[in-house]
Amino acid sequence: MTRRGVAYRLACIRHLIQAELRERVRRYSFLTMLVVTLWVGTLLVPPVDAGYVAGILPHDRRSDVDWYLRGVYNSAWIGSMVALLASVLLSLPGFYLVKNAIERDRRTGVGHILATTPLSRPIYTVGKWLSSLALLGTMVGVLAGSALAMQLIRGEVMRVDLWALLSPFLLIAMPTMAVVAALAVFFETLPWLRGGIGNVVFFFVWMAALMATYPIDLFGLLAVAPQVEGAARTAYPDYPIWSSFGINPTEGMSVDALLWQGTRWTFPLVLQRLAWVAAAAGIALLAALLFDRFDPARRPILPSRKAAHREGAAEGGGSVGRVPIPAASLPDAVVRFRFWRLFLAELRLAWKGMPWWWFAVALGLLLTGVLSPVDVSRTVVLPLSWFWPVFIWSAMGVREMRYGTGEIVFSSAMLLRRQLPAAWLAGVAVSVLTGSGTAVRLILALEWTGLLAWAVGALFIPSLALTLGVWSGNSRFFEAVYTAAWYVGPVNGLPALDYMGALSELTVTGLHWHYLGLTVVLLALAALGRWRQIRG
Amino acid sequence: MELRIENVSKVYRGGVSGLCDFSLTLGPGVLGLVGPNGAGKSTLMRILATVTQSTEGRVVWDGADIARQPNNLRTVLGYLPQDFGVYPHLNAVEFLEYLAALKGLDGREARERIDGLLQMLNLTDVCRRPLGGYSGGMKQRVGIAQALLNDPQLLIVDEPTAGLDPEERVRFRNLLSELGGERIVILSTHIVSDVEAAATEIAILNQGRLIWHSVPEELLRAVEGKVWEWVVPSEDLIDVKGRCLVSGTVRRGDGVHVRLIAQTPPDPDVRALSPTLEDAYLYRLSLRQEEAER
Repeated sequence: MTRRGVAYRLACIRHLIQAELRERVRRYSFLTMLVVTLWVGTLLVPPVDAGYVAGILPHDRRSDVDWYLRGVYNSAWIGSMVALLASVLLSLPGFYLVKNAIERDRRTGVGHILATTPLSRPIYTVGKWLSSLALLGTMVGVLAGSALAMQLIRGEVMRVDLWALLSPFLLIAMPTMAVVAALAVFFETLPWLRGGIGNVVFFFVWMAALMATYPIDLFGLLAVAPQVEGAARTAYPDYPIWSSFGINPTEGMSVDALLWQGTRWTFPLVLQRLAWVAAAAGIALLAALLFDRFDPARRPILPSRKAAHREGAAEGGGSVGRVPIPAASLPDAVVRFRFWRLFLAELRLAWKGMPWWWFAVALGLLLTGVLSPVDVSRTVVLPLSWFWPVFIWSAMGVREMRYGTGEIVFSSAMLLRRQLPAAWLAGVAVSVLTGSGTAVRLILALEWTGLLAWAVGALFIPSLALTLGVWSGNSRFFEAVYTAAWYVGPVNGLPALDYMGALSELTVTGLHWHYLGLTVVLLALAALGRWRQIRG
Repeated sequence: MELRIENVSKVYRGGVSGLCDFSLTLGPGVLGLVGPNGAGKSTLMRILATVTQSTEGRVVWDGADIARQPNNLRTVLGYLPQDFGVYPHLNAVEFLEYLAALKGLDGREARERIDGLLQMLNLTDVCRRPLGGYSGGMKQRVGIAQALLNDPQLLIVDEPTAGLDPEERVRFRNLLSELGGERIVILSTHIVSDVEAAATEIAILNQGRLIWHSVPEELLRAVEGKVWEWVVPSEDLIDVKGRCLVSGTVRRGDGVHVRLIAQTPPDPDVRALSPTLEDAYLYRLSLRQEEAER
């Protein structure tokens, strides 16, 4: 490769990063995101008496002893803990935040212009990877800044050791972000991972990475935790010390201080972290192999396009030459609003485009719900039945933005009284239809409280979808939030997130009443959001 | 039936002015709204279509302020935005049925009207195909159909002929002329020939301001006796363009036939021509530019 060729490629990457960053940072949402990141940064370094600690918690491994060690807030401790939490917690929303870099070029038509330039696929995907990494890096940088500020605000140790504070962000958080950014690009180049399925799949990839910390340690936990444990054992040799990670409650526990001087960055440890950056680069390059370079012929054929193919090319369609009828002879337009007609139209819009096997699986789940024992129907079949339509719900409230029909729809009369309730009811109809197997089973078993919880779930899910859709303008937000809530709540049994009454013992605690109240709040928020959209 | 636009201004976030102190009163007929790119045409269209609100002034439809009572207008409004999308998995009939339900049209009558509109816009043969497979021109015709669904009293069409082939463009112009008889039609475009064919009134916008509003004949009268044809060698063309306001050039065997607008003949060999609306529009814009420079 000539020097000129290298310079051209580097210039391409630089401009791709610049353009992408400028496009993103000039949005109000970026400012909002930074403010939220700053706020989270303050929560991750709580006051001593806050009742919780964030990060690694060395404690007595015996379950009957409530004693733990709190790291003294010096640069090393704060930097390492915030960086670790950023690595774990930012990697999930961060993916959804950057997983639209290629989609935007596709949607805006810029992709077609880029495709006519000498820009190669690897340069494009690497450029997109680096621009996404730069965006995530900005957030990591904001957290690093807030860590420094929090050290000074908490004021336990006023001496700032910049290397101890910043090296964890550089060597722990950034390699994780590199992988997340690369996966986002990779997912966008695979047609079946590009949409909602990819959003759901990534959640499980993230969960798997978290659970597989010991063999693979993507998040850098093993770079810090053993050294913290070692320091704790040296300081308190009489205690059998164990450590846990996360945001842990410490109310009522006895506490001692641990002065920790930071991670010793040995060469193998640094190499281990840098290997993730190399892996990320590999993923971005692999994405180049799969990238269609905006060639419509390489895109999968959607049902709509299949039909067009079957019936001949759509170009030039229409009966040219036929004598048109004059406007005056058109039948009169009789205005007589029927809510149920709009509801049916919204329902058709919701499920149109779903393949036949989607309906087959939904029907299978419905029948299984009726025929299973009531406990199985509620705890196993219902969560599955109410995960299956996630992509129907996630389109609620965003369809007008996604397909560019906003100006037409929003100029219709009485939208808040007509279209919004119709769209919501269509979503409720989807939850009622897909979950009706379990409902029938609950009726047969005379479990009325369970049925009530089910009914609240049927109202709550579309309300959440509609609200998040209207306010975020994209499907990803609901898909990520709902998948996480579904996995943690109904599937893994966290009582507070059992919004569908899947955990049988909870139906008597009255949790569903809280969700009913939340549903009302969500609907009010959806109406407010739509009202803002209508007002332009 | 009256649409009154009173001192309407629109300032976007960041202080960018989209429209400045715009006033106009309209009755039945076709208003051709012309102006260069970025003149504020689409901003005005969106305000009139209740999609966005003005920052100053008001728009009154039959006595009601549309910012306060938008539904009065929305029930009788047909709007074709400049950029719009369709739901790709629905076919044309399903898409129009959805919008008919949204506009409150009754079932059987709505279906009959949809059939009629599809026939009128030459979409009957393809109306069962998913919209995702439509060409740009076909989508544009679906857009026109949805704007006419409720037989609107106020029809706002923003760049409606974009993407239409010549035959469809002519057909649409004729349709607009036909519709303009008993309703207010606002046709926004930068294609002057579209306006020439259909408009009963013309408004010219430039840099967010209304610089001219009148009937086409008056606009033409202003440029009467100022349009010339000058045949020049190719190498002189750049010089002529620098000296005169050129509205068209055609290369022929004897040189370049330059159509130009000037108060007095720029050369003894020029030939006087009948003005077109395009000449008049360019002349009006150039006058405005000269005023601004002064």
